Amino acid sequence: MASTSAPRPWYRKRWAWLLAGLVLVVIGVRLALNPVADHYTRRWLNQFPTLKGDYQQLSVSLFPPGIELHNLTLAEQPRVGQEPPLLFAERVRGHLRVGQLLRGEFVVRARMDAPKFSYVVRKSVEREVEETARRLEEPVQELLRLVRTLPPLSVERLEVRDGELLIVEAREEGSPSVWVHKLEATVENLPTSAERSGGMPTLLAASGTVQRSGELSLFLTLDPFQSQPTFAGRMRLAGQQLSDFSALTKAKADVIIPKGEMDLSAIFVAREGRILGSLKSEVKNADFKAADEDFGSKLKAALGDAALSLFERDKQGEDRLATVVPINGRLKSPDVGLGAAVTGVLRNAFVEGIASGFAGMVPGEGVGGSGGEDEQAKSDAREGD
Amino acid sequence: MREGARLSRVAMLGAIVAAGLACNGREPPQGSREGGASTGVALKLSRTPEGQFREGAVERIQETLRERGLLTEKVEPGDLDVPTSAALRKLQEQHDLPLTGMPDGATVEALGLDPESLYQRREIPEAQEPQRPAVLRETPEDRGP
Repeated sequence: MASTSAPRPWYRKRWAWLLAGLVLVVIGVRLALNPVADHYTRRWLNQFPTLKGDYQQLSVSLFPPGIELHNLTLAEQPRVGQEPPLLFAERVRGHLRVGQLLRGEFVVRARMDAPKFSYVVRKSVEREVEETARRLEEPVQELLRLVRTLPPLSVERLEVRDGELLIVEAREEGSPSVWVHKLEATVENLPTSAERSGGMPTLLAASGTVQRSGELSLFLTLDPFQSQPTFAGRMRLAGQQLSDFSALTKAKADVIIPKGEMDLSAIFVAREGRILGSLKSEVKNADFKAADEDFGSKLKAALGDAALSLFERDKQGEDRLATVVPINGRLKSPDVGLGAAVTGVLRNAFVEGIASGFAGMVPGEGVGGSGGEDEQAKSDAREGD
Repeated sequence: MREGARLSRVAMLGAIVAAGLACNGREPPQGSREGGASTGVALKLSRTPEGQFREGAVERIQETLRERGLLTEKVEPGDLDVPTSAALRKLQEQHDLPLTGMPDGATVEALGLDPESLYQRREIPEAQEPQRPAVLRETPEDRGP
């Protein structure tokens, strides 16, 4: 008579213990992750004397591996009065792509919801930017050091939804400001090494509304691995009501523009310290006194970036009535960073656009037309050669 | 008891290996391009969104937008003009993507197209030797419309 052995109970089986152990480890890691990540994130954000960070809530996810911060605030120190922080974001989240992780690649996708970037100008623009750069140098260097300790990774995509940028001119009465809102942006292909770029530059696409009316669109390609700022792109601003800037133009050039509309388009390429391109601006139906001849130069002196010279034609005293102005300039300082160079080009193009639009304007009559694009293309082609 | 102890050792070892893989304290080697050092090889930059794509790619995007009923107006083939941008915005809204009106990678994916086949790329050599920038002049497609 054959004897039949009773089946072993589950707790005697190795796989059951392995499974239970794995579940316990996952639960343990999951429970420990949030407080541990919270501790180290807060410590990192508060280690700098010139920049402080805070947030309301942090959560870490395992599948996909990622992190999410709510109500993140980054503020320059010391903070002045009720000055808004440099950045407030309702939600910031980032995660590693699981597919690429399984292949041993660290690829990050990140998104910021409703971020508000604020910048208060209290001194001269150059001094203010210089001081901010000095304050941010340590955190940025520390961040770069941290990134270098990580395995090579690439930010495949960074999204910004419903963002705002506010620049407050606190030196002037009434603190006039420039406000970009409904800001939507994507940054793609931002690796920590050139080999991981896949032969493609970093791409930035953005759109937003300037003040109450101007429809802004921006496209940039950047090569972050060149020693000098290397980028190319296009900025367009359409339907900008000039009355939106009345407080600013009154403060800066003692001119009020009660009505008028501006379209602006700039294309540019910066490479090896040189900037080429063209700028076209049209001012239509503006109510503007022709006696204000130095309006443009006042505005450029007040708002322009002196570190960049985009319009060498100015020095040669050439005719500025053309609607298309060639950009042909140089970065004055070889030490200027990529971010500063990009913002400088955009800022100067914007200020020059307003100034040149008025320089070429016949009061009450729009400038340019459908032929303007052709003219710009031709001019751009000349610059590219 | 012995099973449990062995299991916990295995679990701990697994956790240590995973943590090590996740954040191995690797410093970049000397001369590496990491951390922003110049590559010497210029990437293909473009002043216009169209210039970033291969020939015919923008037309494919426009066709696909039309097939999906997002683009109904007449457009200039190969030009990311106002109607094309508006159609891209509609698509981006449907897929909870940033409303830039430009065909970024995720937008192209949302259209069911493969970004790899549409974007222009430049070969990056493995060699660490700095090279002269390959392209200093703009190509015609950079100039845009």
